[in-house]
Amino acid sequence: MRRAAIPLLIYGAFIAGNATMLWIWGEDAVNVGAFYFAVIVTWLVALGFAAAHWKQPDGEALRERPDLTRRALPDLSFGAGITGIAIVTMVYGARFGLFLVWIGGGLLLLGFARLAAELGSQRRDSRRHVEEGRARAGIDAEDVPP
Amino acid sequence: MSTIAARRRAPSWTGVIGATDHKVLGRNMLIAAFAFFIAGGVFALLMRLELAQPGMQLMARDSYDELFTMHGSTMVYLFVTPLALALGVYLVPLQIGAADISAPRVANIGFWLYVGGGLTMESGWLTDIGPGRAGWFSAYPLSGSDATPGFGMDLWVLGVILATAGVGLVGACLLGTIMRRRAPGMTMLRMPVFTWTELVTCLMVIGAFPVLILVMVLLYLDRQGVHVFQGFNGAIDYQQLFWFYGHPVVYVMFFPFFGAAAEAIAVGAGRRWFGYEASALSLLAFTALSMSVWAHHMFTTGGVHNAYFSLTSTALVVPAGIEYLGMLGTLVGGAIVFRTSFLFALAFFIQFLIGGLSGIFVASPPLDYHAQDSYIVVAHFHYTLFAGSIFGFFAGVYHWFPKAFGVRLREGLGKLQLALMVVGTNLTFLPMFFLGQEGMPRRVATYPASTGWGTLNVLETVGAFVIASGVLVFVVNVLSSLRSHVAAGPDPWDGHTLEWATSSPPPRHNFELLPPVRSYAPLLDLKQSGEWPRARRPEEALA
Repeated sequence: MRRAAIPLLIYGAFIAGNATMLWIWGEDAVNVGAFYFAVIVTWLVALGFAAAHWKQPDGEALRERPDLTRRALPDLSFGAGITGIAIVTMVYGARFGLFLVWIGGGLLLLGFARLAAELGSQRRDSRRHVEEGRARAGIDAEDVPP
Repeated sequence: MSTIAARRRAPSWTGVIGATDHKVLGRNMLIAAFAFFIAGGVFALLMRLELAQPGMQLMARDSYDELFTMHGSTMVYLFVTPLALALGVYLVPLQIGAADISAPRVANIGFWLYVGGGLTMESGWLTDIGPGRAGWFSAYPLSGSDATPGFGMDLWVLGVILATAGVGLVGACLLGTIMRRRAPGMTMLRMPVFTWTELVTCLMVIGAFPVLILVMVLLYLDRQGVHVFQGFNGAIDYQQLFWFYGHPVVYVMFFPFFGAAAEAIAVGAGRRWFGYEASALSLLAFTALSMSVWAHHMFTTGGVHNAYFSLTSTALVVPAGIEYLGMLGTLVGGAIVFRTSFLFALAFFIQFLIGGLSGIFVASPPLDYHAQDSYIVVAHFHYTLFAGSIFGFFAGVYHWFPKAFGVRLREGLGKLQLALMVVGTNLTFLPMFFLGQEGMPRRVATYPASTGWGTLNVLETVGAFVIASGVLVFVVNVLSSLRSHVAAGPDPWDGHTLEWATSSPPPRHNFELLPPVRSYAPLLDLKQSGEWPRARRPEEALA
């Protein structure tokens, strides 16, 4: 998984080289600054992915035991939809009228609360699925003839 | 004998608002982008009607300014860029064997920011002075509050901020999906070509899009009286920052469609993509170079180092050449089936070549001084942005429509659409080179009759309506094919990649069981070793 970051590091090195060449060539600070911003973002993302040691629950579990991989992620997330709409309402209100900022702010709080509830529920579900899966795997293991 | 496809359930409003399934999100984004495409296309037709004859016929000059601004803005910010990522949202998890997209809630928020941004921008039409009218890149000081006052221009700026932030969030989720959700065995050098193109697209999104958001926030503040860009070098600084986004986004609007065309070519030819590893590496170089060329849009300002940007711009032909070599190598010796997706892909490579070659011409500063702000530039970027996206997009649509909806699009109507679009594209954009050479400047609502530009302008207007009729044929094709209920099956084209290993349309979490991944064409491996049933192509079934 850590090796997946290599293409990002290569790409980051490539644009870093180009940015340095531009800097040596004597371009202005805005140009070079924007360029190095992209370099830093790319490298930070690459390092983040390299350091995270994320597992690959989907494919691995699916291939080995699809029956144990009931998913906790709900099909619908009103919290996300409401949050998105709330942000748009607030930004529009910044020019159209303060009342929209207030309405959007209220919606945003509602969206965050809903998101928090969804995430909590998802975490509990996920934990329960793992425990159920382990229990079933134990039973299956006993059923296997020697 | 054909089988009957299961009837699709109509999407519910709750599913539209809060979808976490990447397929629903991708579909919603595709539908929204296509709706904006229709709007942007209508703006283009109105412009072409005005330009068909010398003099002002249909509208005032201000209205024309609004139309070309909103046409460009709608197409760039609201149609092609979101479309490029929407294809990835739908297809990448399927291609890499993932059950979901990373952070689906964030992607959903991104979708709403994008749609809300689009509606904010277009709502400028409802204001008394009209929407933004400073061009799609709104160069400063033209976009300042003195030159372009009014509520509509403010809404344009806010719309760009929202839409770009939304698409940026979706891109970040897609990048996370590619980095951390690949199936076992799916190493970076086993990812399909389309997924590679989405990966490099996301790299540009995270590097360049925040800069546009920053520059638009600064422009908004400037318009509210904060005087951000009114200093000594403000206009140049605005352009530097804008084009730092403005050029990479050209490739955001190209790479995924190249990937779609590459998949259609490989499957149509029944061969693996030629020189896969070189292609992947050259995509990285292509992306890095395309992040390094932005100021070639500013050669004539005198505010940038022309030599550097000319060098990097010209160097782009090397990775582009490698990709074209890959396409040719795939075709040579292939058992080609000339179905619509393949033909659209071929048209993509040929049409984009005109845009690419004219790009080498304008990458040279002395030649760019000649072409600057003329119709040559308009022709160049329409061959790049329109031909370099739409033909690849339709190649992808005809290729993956059976996967997404369980039914194939009609081949006859598809080929009619292709013919109309090829004729229309060249009738509209090729004369622009000649008009530019003769001196017709861009962004003019009229021209003197004595110039003799009327005939070519009439041809362009006819071409624009031919393109529109091609789009109409596509809409008819989609509606009639969806009503046909003839099931396509999981693998109608004898595909190479993982998405063809699941049902059409795929179940909620995509795969019941994943086949082993041994190369970037895992299904083809299994078919060649006899471990997976080889699909009979429809053409073989007919024979």
